[in-house]
Amino acid sequence: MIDIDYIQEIWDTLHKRRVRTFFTTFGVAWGMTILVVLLGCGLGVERAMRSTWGETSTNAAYFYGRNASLPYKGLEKGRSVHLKTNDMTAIKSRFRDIEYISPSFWNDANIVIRGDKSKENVPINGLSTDFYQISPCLLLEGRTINEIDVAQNRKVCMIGEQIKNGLFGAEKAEGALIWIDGVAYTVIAVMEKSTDVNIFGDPEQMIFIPYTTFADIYNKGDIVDCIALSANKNANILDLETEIKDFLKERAIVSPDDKQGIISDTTKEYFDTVNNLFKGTRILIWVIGLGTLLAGMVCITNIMLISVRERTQEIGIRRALGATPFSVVRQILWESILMSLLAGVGGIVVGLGVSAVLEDIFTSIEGSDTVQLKGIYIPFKLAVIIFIILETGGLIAGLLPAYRAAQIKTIDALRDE
Amino acid sequence: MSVIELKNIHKTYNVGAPLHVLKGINLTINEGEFVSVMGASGSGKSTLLNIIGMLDNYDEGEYLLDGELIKDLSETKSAKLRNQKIGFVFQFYNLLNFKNAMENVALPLYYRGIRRKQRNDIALEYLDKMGIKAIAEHLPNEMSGGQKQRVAIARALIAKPKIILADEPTGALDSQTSKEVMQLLREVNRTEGVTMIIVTHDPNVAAQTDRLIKIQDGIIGDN
Repeated sequence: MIDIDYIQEIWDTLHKRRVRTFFTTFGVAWGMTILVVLLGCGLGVERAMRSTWGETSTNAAYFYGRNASLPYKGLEKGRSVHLKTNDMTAIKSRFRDIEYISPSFWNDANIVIRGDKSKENVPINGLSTDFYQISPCLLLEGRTINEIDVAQNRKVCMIGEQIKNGLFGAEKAEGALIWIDGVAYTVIAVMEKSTDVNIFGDPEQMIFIPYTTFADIYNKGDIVDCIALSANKNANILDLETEIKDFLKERAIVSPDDKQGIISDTTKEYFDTVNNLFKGTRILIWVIGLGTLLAGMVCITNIMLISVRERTQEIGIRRALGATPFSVVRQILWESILMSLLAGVGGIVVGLGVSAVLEDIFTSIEGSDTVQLKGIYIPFKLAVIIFIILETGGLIAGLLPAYRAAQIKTIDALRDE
Repeated sequence: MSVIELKNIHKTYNVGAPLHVLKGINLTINEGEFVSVMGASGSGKSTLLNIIGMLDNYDEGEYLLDGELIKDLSETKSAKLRNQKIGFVFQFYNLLNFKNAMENVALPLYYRGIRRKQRNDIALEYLDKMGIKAIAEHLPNEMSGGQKQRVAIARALIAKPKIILADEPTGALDSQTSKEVMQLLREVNRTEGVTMIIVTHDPNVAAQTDRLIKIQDGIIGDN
């Protein structure tokens, strides 16, 4: 089917009408450029957004005890519902899909002192070793809380970068002692956030200590403020969330119908919302892009129809010299395909060029919060898909003109002087 | 040996009222003949030419081309036969104006699936035979009428047809050029042995052929 000699014949025909070919092709190439640039920008925003998510588990859920809204088993409504440390072990042994689980105790430390420097009202969290897997941060110094810290109720703390800057300035903080509400702790780490999605709060402004230590110092006993957990990738966290909540309600003697007693949330909902937003944006881009391409296609059909009309005599001559109707159809279709091929290559190349320029412009606007783009480009696979769509479109665009051309009768065509 | 045999050919056009154009044509043309067809406008000579050239169908009768019955052929089949058996020369040349002389001449070979290089070489050979190799690269609008008709004749010849159908080949040419073109056709007829059928209005042209076929009201008149 694909024959160099044949393609050359088609190319000659297009080349001899280069002005028309150029403008027809331009229409499609323009649509192509727009599609490529729009998709690139859309993906750029998406990439920028995803990069701020970092390693945060997209399959995490967290549970809090609140006040019961329904009386249940002789217990009155309005009572406080508490989650306990042993709920964690129960959850973990009951639900096999749970990979990591951590309690979270929280409080605001009244004052944190180091030498002559101090900071007031600092949020402080008590966590288990698993917290780092559920909502990671970056360590600028030191190590995370480990099993021994938890088991021995050690007075160690991980401090946020902003706290460290306030108390230590440029000095090294790891190994130093600080006083939190009158208790001395050894700094084991300085943290920086790795993502904008932080389940336990912004680590840069917080202090993390082992939950066992927290429970001791702030007299929490076994009552935790929150249980955070993450499930393995294949688990459906939304189903798990419901099951675990029911399980917790049973353990805390809360009515299964009570919507207030124990509340929960998942990161999946957040990520899903954002993902849907991206999906919506993508659909919009495809609609606009394909719409523009469609306009280009109609342009090809239109020009080809005019072309066939104009070339009635040419087609008549070709038929007289031995062109079969099929070869006439083939010629028109190939002209159309070749035009969209040119348009496709041109459009994609120009589109990528424009994307590169745009990226330069956006990245040169430094510190801008409004422009969040990371890499305006489309992946190769997507380019191939677009290309295939375009070529199919080119083929379809040529169908009607080709049909018209095949209908031309030689005698009528040659009479057309 | 007859190359064209028409037996009782009838053709009616249905344009509003039926128009009976050919009313029983009986005609035999032998291989290598040099004939002319004359007739007034509306006599049916163009229709006859179209039927011989397989550009049109007939309603009744039999048409044998080179011993093969030509009846109700598909478009594809007739296109192939045209390419093999018949060369056309038209009054207004009918060259493709975006192709140069060589490419125009080579076109029938393109439809025969011959490679570009080879068919262009053959085309040059034929342009040389017509004495116009020098204008091989010229586009039709850079040629004189006589040159265009020579290109057209070369194109008609290149596929080595049995028959050349020339429809008013000198109709658009001055008398001097007409004479040259007629001489060329005669020479082609003699050297290549191609059967030549020339449709004309011009008695001078008809006089230069070996046989005159007159058509009147859809039948062959007395020769």
